[in-house]
Formats: sequence, structure tokens, C-alpha cells
Amino acid sequence: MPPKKKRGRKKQQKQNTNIVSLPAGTAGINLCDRDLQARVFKKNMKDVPPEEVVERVRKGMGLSTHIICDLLATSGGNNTHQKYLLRLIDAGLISTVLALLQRCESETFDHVIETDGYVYKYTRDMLNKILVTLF
Amino acid sequence: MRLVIGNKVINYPEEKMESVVDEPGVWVVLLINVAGSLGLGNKRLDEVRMQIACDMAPLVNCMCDDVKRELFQSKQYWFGAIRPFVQLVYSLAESDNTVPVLMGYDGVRELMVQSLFWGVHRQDIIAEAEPFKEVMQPDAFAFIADYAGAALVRVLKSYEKEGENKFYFEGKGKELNISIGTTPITNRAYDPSCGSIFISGLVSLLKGDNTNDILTSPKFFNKKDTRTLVTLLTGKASRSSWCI
Repeated sequence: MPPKKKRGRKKQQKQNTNIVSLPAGTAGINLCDRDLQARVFKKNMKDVPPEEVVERVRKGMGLSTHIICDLLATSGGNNTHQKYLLRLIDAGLISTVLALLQRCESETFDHVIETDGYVYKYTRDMLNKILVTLF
Repeated sequence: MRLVIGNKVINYPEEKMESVVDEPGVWVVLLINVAGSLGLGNKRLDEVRMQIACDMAPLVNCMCDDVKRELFQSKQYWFGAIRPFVQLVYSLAESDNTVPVLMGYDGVRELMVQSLFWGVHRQDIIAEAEPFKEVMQPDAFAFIADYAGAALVRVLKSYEKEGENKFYFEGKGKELNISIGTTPITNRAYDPSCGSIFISGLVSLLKGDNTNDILTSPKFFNKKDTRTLVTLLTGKASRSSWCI
């Protein structure tokens, strides 16, 4: 029954959009490796609502900010990127970044990040611990 | 997010994989990328550039102070952000509407002129940058000179008018032409005795007196921008400005 199989595959693909496969035997992997994280996040970034991305930038979340930077730099010839960029701007990306920079005279960077930020200093250790436990 | 490693599955919240932004320079880079996003269309791009230009006063105050040199109360962040900042000014100057806003800030014009001469007259900046080489890209000072010079060209060109077979400046353009030409090549807060102005500095650069100045920038010297700058400041179009 080919049609049934097609539907099933589509359904499965849809369910899998949030799954990122890493190669087996990656117990010692450094999940703070920016390239790896970027690949993991880029895969799903456009599924994230622009408002949430802007909120991540506001909170000083590094990877999201870097990915948005890359996305903007490469948006020239890519319609999907351009549309997403417009949605980000409508969601207040520019005013958010400017608001962060406006605190540059009176506050320290750490203070800006600590008060509004979303810092998980223990993230790397925690995640590596999980991975090490698994293998 | 579900991480699948081999045949094991971990449910892990996406946001917990993120660390914090390393330095504020990345926010400036983000603004550069927005201000250069041609895909936005001319009208939207002009609006975006204007929004950035109007709301960047605190950033301008920090970045244009080349004596204190602190951003978020840190010298490291200042050195990390100076190159993207000059590039941001250059990108914003692409829209004629934003030029008066940029030139309205105290220090932007001076920074654009004086950064061309840091190589000879501001060894304090060059020396202080040494420990921050990691956050500054290679040839950062040459790059800054490229963009600062090109930004000045854009600024002057935005005021240049075309008449019958000739270019000329009038009104605010005339004033700006003179104020750029007479800007001291060293910050007076650093060297109150500095008597050299931009136009004479440019002439000495063309004579090859200061081999460490913008001459260090292979892209800048002897290229279109230098010639255009000299023409804009000393050419026919400017004569009417200077002979008041």
C-alpha cells in the first residue's frame, strides 16, 4: 500500500524535526564546541518563533546571537533567510540589541548579562556528565 | 530537543546548551549585518539604518573616546568593538538620511579622521592593543583606516551637489567640508598642543612622510578612496567652501 507508507514517512519526518543525531561513540565530545552547537541549532533555528529568538538575544545567549549574525550575513541571496530576517526585525531584534548596547556607559558587561541573562555556567559539565554516564 | 547519540536518546532543553555571549562586539557586528542586509529593500533598509543611528548615542560616546577607551567599563571590550564600530558607521553612512544624524554626534567625525593617524601619533593606542590581539582581528588598525576613510568619503559625497558640469558644496555641506578638513589629526584631550589638521595630514601622507599611517593599509593608500578624499577636500568643489 504505497500511499499509506508515504504518509507514515512524512509523519515520521515531521516528528523528527527536533531530533539531532550525533555519531555514536561521542562520549568525550565537547558540547561547548561552537561548530557542533551551531550545526545542532541551525537545524532547528527557523522553527523557533522570531519572538523567542529575540528573547534569546536579549538574554545574552551566545549561540543564538552568533547564529543570527551568520544568518544576517548570508541572507543576501536566500529568500527564506530574508523572510525570517524581516520577521526578526518586526519582532524587535534591532531595538533589543540597541537596548543592550545603551547600557555600555553605566554598567559592566557582566552585570548586563547577569541581570537579564540566562547563564548556565554549569551547562558544559552537566551535559558532559550525562554523556559520560551513558557510555 | 532530543539528542540521539548512537542508540541512546537524551531529552535536553535547547537553551541549556547555550553559553553566554563572549563579548559585546558581537552585538555591533549584528547591527552591521542588519544595516548591510540589501535584501530588506531600500526603504526598509533606510528605516533600519536610521533607527540604529538615532539610538546609538551611548555606544558612540564610549567608542569615540579614544583616550579613556572603555566599553562596558572594559578596555578589552573597547578594543574588541572598535573595528566593528567603524565598520558600522561606514554601513550607516550609506544612507544619505543617516549622515546628518551620525555627524551630529560629538566625536564621530573626529574618530573617523584621527583613526587614520593612530599609527604615528597614537602609539599609546597601538601599545595598549597588544594584549588584546585575540579580540582584535589581524591588521585591525589597517582595516579601521580603510573603513574610516571610506566613511568620510561617503559622508562628503552625500553632501556633494552636481550642477552644470561641476560638483559643489553648499549650506551644511560647506560647513561639514570645512569642519572635516580642519579636524585635528590627534585628539586634543590627548595632545592639546596638536596643531595639524586633516587636510595638511593628508598632504603629508601623500608626500609619504608618515610611513606608519594609513600607508600601512595596502587597500587604502593610492586607491580610489584616498584620491577621492583629497579631491573632495581640496578639489574644485571645495574651493568655494574654503574661500569664504
